[in-house]
This record gives sequence, C-alpha cells and structure tokens, in this order.
Amino acid sequence: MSERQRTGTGIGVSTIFLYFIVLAALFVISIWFLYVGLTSYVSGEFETATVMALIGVIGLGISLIVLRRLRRRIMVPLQQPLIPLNVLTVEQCDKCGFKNVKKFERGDYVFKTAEKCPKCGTLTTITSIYYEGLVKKQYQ
Amino acid sequence: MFQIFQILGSTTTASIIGYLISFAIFIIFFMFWNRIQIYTWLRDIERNLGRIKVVRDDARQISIETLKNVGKPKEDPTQKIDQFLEYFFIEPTGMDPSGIVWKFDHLLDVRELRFKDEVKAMAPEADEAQVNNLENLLEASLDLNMIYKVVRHYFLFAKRTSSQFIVIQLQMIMPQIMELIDAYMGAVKAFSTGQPIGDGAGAFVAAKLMHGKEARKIEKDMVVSEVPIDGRRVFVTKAEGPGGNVGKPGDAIKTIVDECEGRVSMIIMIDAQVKLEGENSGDTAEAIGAAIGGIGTEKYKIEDALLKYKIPVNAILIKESIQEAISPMKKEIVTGVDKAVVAINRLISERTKPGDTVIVAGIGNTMGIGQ
Repeated sequence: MSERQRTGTGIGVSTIFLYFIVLAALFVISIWFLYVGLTSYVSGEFETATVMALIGVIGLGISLIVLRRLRRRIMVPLQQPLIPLNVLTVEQCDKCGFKNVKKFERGDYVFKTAEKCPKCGTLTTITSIYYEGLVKKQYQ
Repeated sequence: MFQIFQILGSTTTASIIGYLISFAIFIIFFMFWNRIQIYTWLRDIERNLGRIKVVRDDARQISIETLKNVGKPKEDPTQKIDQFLEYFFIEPTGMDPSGIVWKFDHLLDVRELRFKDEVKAMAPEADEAQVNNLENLLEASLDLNMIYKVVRHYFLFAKRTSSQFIVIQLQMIMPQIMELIDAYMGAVKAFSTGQPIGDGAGAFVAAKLMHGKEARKIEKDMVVSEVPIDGRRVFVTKAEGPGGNVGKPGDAIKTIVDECEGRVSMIIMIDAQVKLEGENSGDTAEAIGAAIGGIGTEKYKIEDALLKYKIPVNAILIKESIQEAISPMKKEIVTGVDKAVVAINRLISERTKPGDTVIVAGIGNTMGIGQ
C-alpha cells in the first residue's frame, strides 16, 4: 500500500510498469499479425489474410483501449489539483442602492458592514456571498 | 486433431488458428467470467479508493494549515489533529427506546463541548466564530477519514474473501460515495475560509428578515428578533452567526412558545431540502410539518411543543442537491432565498390575522451569515 500511497492513484509504480510491458508486447504482436495478414493477401491466401488481419485489429484495439484507461487512471488525480471556487461577495449600499461585486475574502460574511459607498459615502453591507457556474469535478 | 478440423470443413493453417483461438476464448470466458468481472470491479473500487485517499489527505492538510493560520498555536497541531480525526460517536442503546431522545441530546451536547474544547486548545488565538468554523472544518475532515476507512475496510474484506456480493454492493454505491467526497471537499474549502454553504439557506432567509432589528440570545447558540410583518408580531430565530453553527432550534422554538404562553398562531420553518434528480436548485416548495434534519432530537422537541398548544406548522423548503448543501452557496440558492422571503410574507398574510404571533425559524448551518 505504501507504493500506492506515493503515487496517489490507487495503483503502484511496478504495476504500471508491468501494464506498459504487457501492452507493448500486445501492440508488437498485433502489428506482426497485421503484417502476416498483408503478406498473405499479397500472396493470394485470402482466408489466412482475413483471420490474421482480424486478430491484428482486435489486438490493436484492445491495447489502445487499455492504454487510454491506464492513462486516465494515472493522470486524473495528478492533472486535477484543488481548484478554488470563484466565490463572490456582493456589497450593497442601503441608501443609494450602489452594488459592488468583488472576490470573496477571508472574514467576509453576510450582513457584515463593509467599505464606504463610493457614490454617497455611506457604509455598505455585504448582502450575499455565492459562487456562479458549475463545480468542476475534482476527483472523478 | 487434423481429422476434427477436416470434419469442421477447414484445413488451412489460418482456419485452424481461428478455431483454436475462438475455442480458447470460449473456455476462458466460460470458466473465468465471474473472476474477470470481480477483478474489474475491484480495480475500479481500488482506483476510487486512491482518489478518496487523495481527498482525505488534502482535507487533513487544509485543516492543519488553517488551524496554524487562524489559531496561531504555539506547538505543531498535526499530532492533535490526527488524533481528532479518529474520534467517533457511540450512539445510545435503543433496546429501551423510552427516553432515547434525551440520551441522544445529552451525548450530542457532550460531543460538541468536547470538540470545541479540543479546537480551543489547538487554536488559542481563534475567536468564537473562528472556533466554530474550525470545528466544522475538522468534522468534515473527520467524516472524510471515516468514509475512507470504511470503504477501505470493505474493499480489503471483499478482496480477501473474493466475495462477489460484497464487491457488487460496494461497486453499486461507489458513484454516490464519490459525489459525496466531492461535496465534502467543497465543504472543507468553505469551512476553511468561512464561506456560506448551501445548507445555510434557511438561516440566510431568517437573517434577511432579522437584518436591522435587535437580536437577543435565546438558548444555546440561537438568536431571536421580533420583526413586525403586516401587523403581525413575528419572532424570527436562527443559529448565531457568522461562525459555523446549527444551534438548537428545537430549544429556541420551545422557549419562544413558552414565553408567549402558547399563543402562537403559526410556526414557519425554512430549511434546505434535498432535491430529486431533474428538479432545479433554488426552487422552493411548501410543506406541512417540522422541516429539520439531523439526528431527530430537535425535531422531536419542536413537535412536542406544537402538540402541547396545537400550533399549526408550515415549512418552506429551498431545493438543492446533497453536494450543494455542503459546498459554498450557489447563486441559484441565493435566488431561492429571495423566493422564500416572498413566500413567508404571503403565508403570513394569508394564514394569520393582524395582531397574531408567528414564529419563523431559519434552519441550517449559519456559517458566513450574520444577523
């Protein structure tokens, strides 16, 4: 488990290495089958060519699918670090209705007395704190 | 063997290879299909477990950093935080259900007091609101730790016993767990900075009604303001903000009802409601009954007070997903809060007469919401 803890992906480094070796072997064998299929086709052995090409294509397909899955498994936790949400604070002047939307700062809270209104000089109040838009899935 | 292939009608090398491969695949799938399926599911669960671990570790790290920044402890709080993350709550026995509500109530009070004391010791420079926020933050990290440990337990148990049915059950609930994990991470971020969360919608509605009026403390961590609406005497109550706090709305409502000697025409409760798939966040719905979640002790107290004086209770619910409830408040929910305020005014004018007394209770975590 310690090796997996280091990668933070749920799979160990040695497992990833083993996966790549098996995939590389499958890829080479598939290419060889395709080559045999091609030479059989050229020499007129159509039945052999079809079977060999089919095996080659299936092998290539499997290796590509597994490679894509493996990449996703390794990269997803690394590529998606913590993304801070864009939380906004709305300051509003009770007197003239002036509204200022700014980025949330630690210590802001709803109905806190905020800065002076640039229009009339009265102290503004934080009327809401929210974020807009969709949440980015961080770990899926 | 060659004769068998002759019977099958194929004698070329290619056909023989083809037959052999097909036969081998058939045998492999026939004999090992279950094992292959279990292996695939286990790998999927293991991958998700790795992600849960990453989130749990991040939450722990954020907790440590926030505690250091806000609380300015003299010693490194890491060891104490690690100890805190292992706490759990032992429920009272239900063998004799009579009086279990009060047992729960007492144990929850003890738990809260213990958590607050621990946080105060770890963060000596934090004020009351910050202590509440830090306590919420540590509780979210604690929950993440617990989820990780439980999923890991079932994963390892299923792997050790090769039990197909445990693997299936774990695999089935994995998408829900992952969504919950995402939500908890949002909660950790909100709690570390003191941002309002979706669950605070009810408290936000109450705060809007209370704003500008004098608020007095009533019961533990609860405040109340007397607000005139349409000639009615309206008592608006919520948990005391802006620190992360849910308070004890049951005790507050009971006290107000007793203060008014039971002469209350209506109680309106406002809370966040878990929406169903397909429903929009921020939509409001009306209901009859005590709208309050949690373990049930506060609901019991409210229902008890209602029954004693036969007070009608209405509820206005703001819809949101379980993820939105514990993540920073979305704009749609703020819109829902405005809709709820309109609904309260309408309900008061339609269902009560001028001169009547009404109680409005904003339920939920009041983090980042003052009064």
